[in-house]
Amino acid sequence: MSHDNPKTIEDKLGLLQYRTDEEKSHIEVDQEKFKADPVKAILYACPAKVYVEDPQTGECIINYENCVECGTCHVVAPDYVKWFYPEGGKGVHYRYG
Amino acid sequence: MDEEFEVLIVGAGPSGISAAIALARAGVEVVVLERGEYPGSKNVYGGILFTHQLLKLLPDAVEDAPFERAVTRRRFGFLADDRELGLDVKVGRWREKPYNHTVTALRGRFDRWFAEQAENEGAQVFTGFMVSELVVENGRVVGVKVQPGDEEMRAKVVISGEGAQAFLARQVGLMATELPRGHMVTNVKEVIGLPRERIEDRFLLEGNEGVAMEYFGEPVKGLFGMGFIYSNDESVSIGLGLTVKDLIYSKETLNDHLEHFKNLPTIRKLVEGGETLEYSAHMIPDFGYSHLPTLTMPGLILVGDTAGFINGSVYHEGTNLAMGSGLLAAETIVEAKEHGHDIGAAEALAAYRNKLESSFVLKDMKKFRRIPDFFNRYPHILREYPGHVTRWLEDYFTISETPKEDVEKDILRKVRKDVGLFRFLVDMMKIGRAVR
Repeated sequence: MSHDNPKTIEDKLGLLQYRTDEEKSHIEVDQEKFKADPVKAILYACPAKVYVEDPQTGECIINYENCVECGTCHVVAPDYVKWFYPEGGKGVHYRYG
Repeated sequence: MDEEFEVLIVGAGPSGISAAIALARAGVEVVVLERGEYPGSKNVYGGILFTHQLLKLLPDAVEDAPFERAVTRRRFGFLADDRELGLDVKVGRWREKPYNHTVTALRGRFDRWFAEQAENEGAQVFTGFMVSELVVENGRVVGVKVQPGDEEMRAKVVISGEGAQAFLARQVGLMATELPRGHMVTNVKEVIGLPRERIEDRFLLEGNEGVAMEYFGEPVKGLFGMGFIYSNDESVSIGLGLTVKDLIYSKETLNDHLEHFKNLPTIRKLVEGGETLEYSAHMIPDFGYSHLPTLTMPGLILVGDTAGFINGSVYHEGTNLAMGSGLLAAETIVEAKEHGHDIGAAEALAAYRNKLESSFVLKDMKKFRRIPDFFNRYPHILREYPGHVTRWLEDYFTISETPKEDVEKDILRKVRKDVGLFRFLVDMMKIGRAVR
């Protein structure tokens, strides 16, 4: 790897193009159920770090604009993550795939 | 919209576009709805396109389609620490057309080109429209809801090539409401740009030759999944996948797994000095033949990933099963139309399953039906054997003045200690039975 080749998720997401829906998120989390989940696997199972635990409130911050649309989160936590496709034309925009 | 189309296809991927081409060619009115800005902009796969169905549909594709390289070398590697056991198959003849029906391709280019062929045949492809749900009346799918706009579009038949998420199939109960964690595989991938000459030197390739390398064991820390490297023209696709079940169990991010894989001593040199062009993630359904969804209901046919058409086994085929299922869905509809039947009726669509059963799509899935359950049931096979076998081989090939007879006895002792002779035989039998 050359020196500046990205290694972290943040740097790799920086390579992607998005058509972000500024008006609404395509993801919802039931905060009470999230807080009650002892494992909180979505925090690491999401390959785009969409879900971050707020250290103060313990709530789940949803960085939906990072989403790469793999759908792993709602398979991991079907009882509290509601994930659906962004509206037509919105969201991640792959060039290679 | 009051208009009713003959066929609406959800998704401009390999399955949907294959169906669209075959239908349009037979004079059926067909509309494709794609949520991406252009076909391919939402589509991700490992990197290998299997082309026998494509060439059946479009024989000129072997010249015209945007392929990257002809796969002339397939390698399977079992990694543990600094040891590697590889099975390497290289056939020079595969560099000649039709390239053993195995080429690398990038979906951003290929899917766009493929959808253009559908438009040339007379299909209408609308991009930027996401289908949010099926419209069902009296037990029959009669159309779809489209976003943005929340508009209804009606059709005699809807073909869902929605992809792995299968929201539509789950909405109408063709499969369980929750996707199974042990059978959904999340993959992450990087496309890493490298000069053509470097790729050819590193992977021992000439001209249009390409390589497909797949790795088990250490790359995924012995979990149910694999790492892969596929060579494109001027880039390599490197990635790895794990079942959601094992991803949860691993407690690490897929990017951490991928960085671990990329930095293994045997892998590092292959991608060194490259520039990452794209990072992506995508899910693959690995249900196996025994857990396929119900494939049709009145007014609806499932094709491609949304139907679970993947041949996991050692072949890792998907695109050809997608295209094959799309073609058979189209054939089912065209035959019903020719007979003057209602093309969305249950009786007409029943032929689809039979067609799949007598084609490679379900014949191959049936042959390998035990594999997805097998690795879920016996996780120790992938966890332990790459380490054991490479260690036994290391001993076998270690050169010293120890007489070879003693070396062999030592290895046998190790087999007994590591696994147990009886358990070893039972495991080998289990593996044999799983792939029989």
